[in-house]
Amino acid sequence: MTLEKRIRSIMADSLEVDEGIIGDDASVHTIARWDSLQHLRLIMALQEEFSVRFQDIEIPELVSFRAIRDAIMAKLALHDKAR
Amino acid sequence: MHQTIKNTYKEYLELARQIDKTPQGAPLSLAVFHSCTLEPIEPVVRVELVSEGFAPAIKFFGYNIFEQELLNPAGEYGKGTYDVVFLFATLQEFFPELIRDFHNITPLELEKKTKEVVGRMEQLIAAARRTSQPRIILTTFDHPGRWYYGILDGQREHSQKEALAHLNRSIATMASRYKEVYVLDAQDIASRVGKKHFYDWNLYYHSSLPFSSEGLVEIGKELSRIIFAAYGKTKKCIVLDLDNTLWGGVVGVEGADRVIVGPTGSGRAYYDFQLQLKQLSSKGIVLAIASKNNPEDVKEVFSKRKDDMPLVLEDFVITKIGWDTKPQSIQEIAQELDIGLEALVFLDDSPVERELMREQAPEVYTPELPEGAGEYAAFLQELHVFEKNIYSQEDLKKVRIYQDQGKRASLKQEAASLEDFWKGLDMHLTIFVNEKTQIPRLAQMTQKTNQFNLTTRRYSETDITRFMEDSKWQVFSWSVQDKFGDNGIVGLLIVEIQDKKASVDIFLQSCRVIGRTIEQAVVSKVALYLQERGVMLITGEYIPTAKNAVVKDLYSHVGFAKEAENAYVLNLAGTLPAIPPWFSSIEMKVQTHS
Repeated sequence: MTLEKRIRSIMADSLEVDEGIIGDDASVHTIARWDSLQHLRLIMALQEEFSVRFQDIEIPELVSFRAIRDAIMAKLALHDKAR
Repeated sequence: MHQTIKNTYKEYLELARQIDKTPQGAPLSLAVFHSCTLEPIEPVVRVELVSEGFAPAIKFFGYNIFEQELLNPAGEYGKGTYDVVFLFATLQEFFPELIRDFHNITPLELEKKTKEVVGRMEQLIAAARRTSQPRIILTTFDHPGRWYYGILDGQREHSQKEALAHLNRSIATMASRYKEVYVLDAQDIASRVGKKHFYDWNLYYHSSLPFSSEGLVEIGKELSRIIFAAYGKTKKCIVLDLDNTLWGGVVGVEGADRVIVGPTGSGRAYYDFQLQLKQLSSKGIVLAIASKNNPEDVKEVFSKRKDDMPLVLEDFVITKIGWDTKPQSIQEIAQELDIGLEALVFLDDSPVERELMREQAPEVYTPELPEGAGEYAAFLQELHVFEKNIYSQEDLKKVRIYQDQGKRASLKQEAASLEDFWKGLDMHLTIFVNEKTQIPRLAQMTQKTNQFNLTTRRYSETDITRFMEDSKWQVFSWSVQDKFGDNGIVGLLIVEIQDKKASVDIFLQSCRVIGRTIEQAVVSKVALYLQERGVMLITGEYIPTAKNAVVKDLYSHVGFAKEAENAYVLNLAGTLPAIPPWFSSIEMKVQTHS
């Protein structure tokens, strides 16, 4: 499964929406159910799935598909570099 | 679906979406009060509860709101009724002095504050039970950081570690004074996950959620386990495979001498696994075997290797050793123990057997066994499906009762009717009349039988002999054989006959065979026997004692008419009570008076 697909799947399960509506432009503005508590579920699931940790100041920024994808790719790239 | 060991938060999110939003099952409403953000635990708890057959409704109350809500008559809590109330408290909110400036707090203040915290929890219990009687689950506290005085804290007189231990112990002691108040041991959970992984400080500073997904999953599972225990949803029996499960190697190939098990060397893993099983057995969990083997080989291992194994063959209440399929064996085990399949756990090293079991008996809990026996013992401890809220003396005796009666335990199944059950027993009843060889046993029965005993008259062997020799008396006794074996002499009925009237002097039966309509068959046959010998009437009386309430209405059930309080009569001129049709045979063996 591609990284993007994995992210979409986790977003769908965490936010309890159909995966189909998680397009590239999906964000808190397009998904009504995405409130602060759903956001916590999402952050926890993402951290677990990709073995990454988000800083407390990053967490509020991760409110769109693109922001999440970019943040995870950046963290995973850092991991790879370190390796 | 049933309890499986799920590990990740993501898996719970997925499952939570898959399960029906309005599941079938026993409704269970859970109110959660929390002094830190805890809402993301919801999918974990919901999935666990649904997997055990509950239809949960979970309500989270506001962040750090306890008394305000519980004591408010117009509040949300007061308007609803809840089956379980979970009060999740953290030190940060309930006892900040203990973690902030510990050096400033004197031992006296510490004790005072500890009492206050315990008192507050006690008041919360009372507040939660103002209008209904929910089960209540409290928490003890974990301290996320290092101890105040560092690695040597525990050695000091003024020790933070000690102070926390004292607080937690006080909470547990307080809780134990209440019925249906349980304690979730936060420190225990944290130590099992490991503190480093239990907390997530980024999430905490972002949203007051101190736990990592791993920590949260573990809290949710523990909460669910407590609820299962409180509702008696625990497993009752472990069904075990033998080769490569209870010992290493295959006995049919290697031989009894060479299977791997023992207190030293490489057999230790199996030895310790057996020790764990033995412990569970002593706590009332029934052990059984379902193994594809020659019974002789298995017996040989248990006899030849008895010094190498904590378990003996007698520890297993039921053994199914042969070539039946395991789902078939496990069905029989459940039937013989008269418990549902969902009360069974099946442990087998073979993935094929596990798969077959899951397919054909999905109600049975069939967990994945770790690869390699080294982890078996630890795995069994982690299963947590045997948790109980109360360990009663009865529980501890239960295994013994099963061991005595296991094979003869009822075949009752939800689906089958009682008639089918009786038919399936293949009962052969033999009624003896004045059988002198039984005199010692019959006298003993009059001495010992208390429950199924209409008159509780105690007789000596001399008395019984006299009845048998006197033509005015008739002594009926009976034995029953069923598909599980011979029950021996199980009942006695003595009548005295005067003027064509027979009065029942003794009517008793062993409790082992109650509920099988044997007494009906005996009464019908005895009535016929007496009718053929010119008797017109049988009278019976019930003499109440402290123990024989079970037969209070017996005479009515077997066809007698009530004449007065505790006095009954059966008129032999009319239609005699029918003989139950499900006996495979009924035979009378008559000795004439000598």
